[in-house]
Amino acid sequence: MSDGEISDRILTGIKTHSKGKDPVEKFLKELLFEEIKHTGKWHWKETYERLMGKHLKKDKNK
Amino acid sequence: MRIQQISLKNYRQFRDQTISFDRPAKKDLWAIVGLMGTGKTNLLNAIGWCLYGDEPLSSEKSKGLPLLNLAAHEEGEVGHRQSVEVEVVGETDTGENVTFVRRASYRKGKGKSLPLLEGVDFEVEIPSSKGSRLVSESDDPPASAFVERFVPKAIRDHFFLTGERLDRYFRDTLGQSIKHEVFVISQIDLLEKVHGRIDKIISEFRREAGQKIPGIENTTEALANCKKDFQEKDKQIENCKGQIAKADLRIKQIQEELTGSPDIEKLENKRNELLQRQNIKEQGRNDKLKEKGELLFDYGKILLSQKATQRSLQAIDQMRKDRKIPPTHDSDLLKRVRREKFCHLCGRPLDEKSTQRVKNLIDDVLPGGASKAIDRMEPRLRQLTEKLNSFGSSMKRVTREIKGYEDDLAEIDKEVAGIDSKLSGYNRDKIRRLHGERISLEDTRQHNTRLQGRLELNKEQLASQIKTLEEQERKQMIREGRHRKLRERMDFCNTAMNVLKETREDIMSDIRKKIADETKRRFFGLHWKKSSYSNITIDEDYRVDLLDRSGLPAFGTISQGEMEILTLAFTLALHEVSGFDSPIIVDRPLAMVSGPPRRKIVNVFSKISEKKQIILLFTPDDYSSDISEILNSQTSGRLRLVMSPDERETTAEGF
Repeated sequence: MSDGEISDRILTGIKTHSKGKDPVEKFLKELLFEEIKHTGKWHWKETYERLMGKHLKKDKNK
Repeated sequence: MRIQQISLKNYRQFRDQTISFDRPAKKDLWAIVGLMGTGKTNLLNAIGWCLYGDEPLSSEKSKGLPLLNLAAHEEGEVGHRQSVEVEVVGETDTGENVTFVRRASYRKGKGKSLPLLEGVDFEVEIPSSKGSRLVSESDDPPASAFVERFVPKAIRDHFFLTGERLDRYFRDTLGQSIKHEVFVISQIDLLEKVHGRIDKIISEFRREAGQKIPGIENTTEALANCKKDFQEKDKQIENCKGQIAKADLRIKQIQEELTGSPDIEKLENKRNELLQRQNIKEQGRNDKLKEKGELLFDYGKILLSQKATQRSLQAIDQMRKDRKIPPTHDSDLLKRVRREKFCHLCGRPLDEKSTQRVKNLIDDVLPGGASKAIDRMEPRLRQLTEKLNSFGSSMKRVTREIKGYEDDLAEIDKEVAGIDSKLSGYNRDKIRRLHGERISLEDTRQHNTRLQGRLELNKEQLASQIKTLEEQERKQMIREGRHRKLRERMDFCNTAMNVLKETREDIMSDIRKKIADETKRRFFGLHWKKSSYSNITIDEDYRVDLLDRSGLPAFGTISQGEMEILTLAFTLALHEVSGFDSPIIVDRPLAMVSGPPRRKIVNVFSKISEKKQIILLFTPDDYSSDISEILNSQTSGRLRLVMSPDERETTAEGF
């Protein structure tokens, strides 16, 4: 793992288990990056709902 | 990232000291030598304080004292401000510097009072497109986030170590704690965090669905309850595992403590039994001694009258021979015989002659009592003679019996002495307590293993129920077309959660295998007696076992040097798997090792330093001639910590 990143093992695992569902894969990856960015208390729910809305829309368009 | 430089200002023993670890061409191995109290451990504490805000190895006494150097504190007037500053410069793989700085401001108090802490701040200077950028704790991401990228706080003990930890790690650390550390370094905790948050969002959707869609509330409620139960069971299982792991660890420690010590309980029971037998035998012997005394006393009297007795008996015999003593003196009997003319002694009628003899006898006997007295005395005299004749055999018997008792007592004494010798030098109360504690822990372990089995069965049933209910909920939502958006969001979240779950499971099994393989590879690569051991296993709860050539657990017999190598191998495996290629700093790596393994361990560190920065802190005793012989030629730098004569400041000098 390089400094401040998500381990390749996790990124590969998410890609594999998303089984081609790109919006789910991207949603999870973005959530992980948000989590690693925020070490203390933060308004996670807003971010989660915002990202869900964004990727769900892409899922439907797809 | 390696440590390039440490600067300390007014920190404990250090007034103003900078120690550089310039990247060497070959081995990245450094030795710092200092007497006790010169600040070796405080160098590790300074790194801990700078990066994490605490001192991992400070003593209880130090904890209560300010960080400010004593000499600095005494300077200036009341109210004078001084600051403590520790700066750690890290060098990234690309050669860029990241500088961590923590400062604490103090103000001088009145008289002999301690300086007052006014505040602490922490900053990180990171490389940026414009050269460098300063990040403070109030920035987003804060400065501490950059420390987590260097060495995460949760696993710092795998980087900043002590010799004692190297020796005790597998003896004192629960598999669960190791598992937690592995979760942190492999970021499984991050996956779990995201999983937990999405699950919370789904629960809210479910509540919303329950309110909006008629008829679905029963399913959603049942589902929520099942999930709650499921989580509860999970917690209980973890608790059982924790109890089992704690019991296992303590049993292992007790076994180690009891190694070579006798089974006190058993030996003491045996000793008590022997003491009881000893009492009985002593009583028996005393009785026999008394009997012997009485025998001697009795025979003494008989012995004294022996001559008189013999003479008396001889006289009686002679009188009887001379017919001076009648066959009987019973006058009633004689009168009856005469009256009935029938002898009741020989059972025949008396003739005239015999009748006359009986008449004469009555006439002779009845007037005097001498013959009657002789008659009474004779049996007693004979008895005394017989007793005298049996004296030898009685004495022999009693003496033999006493000897028998004494032999038994000597045997018992020998056995008691044997037990006492086995027990001597041991703290009997402690050993007895440890035996008792082990039995109780084995019970706890058994109870929790059974409970865990039951809980896991319940959990499986709940998982199947949850699946059915989720399907049912989904079908109900599809039937109810109006809330399509809600259903889509729930489906999306469920898919995301499944992806996280599957990723987590894959990584967990992959990481465990990799750590086991890497630990094994490192251990057998570093160990000097490879053939003594056959394998290293790590179970799913991260219980580590080293197996000997017969495939049996070898923790009980492993030497301290070997234990350090195993811990190092495991630590390096964690570094490898985690990707955190940070340095290893060890305070007194040889503190727990003696003899030839000391050189071997130092050689192991030297070997590791070909690929990783190693900083070792020694006392002069630890840095003995055999160790300096190796390290003087292999280290990239050696420093000696020297304390000023007034013991207020330590400086580092190269040697």
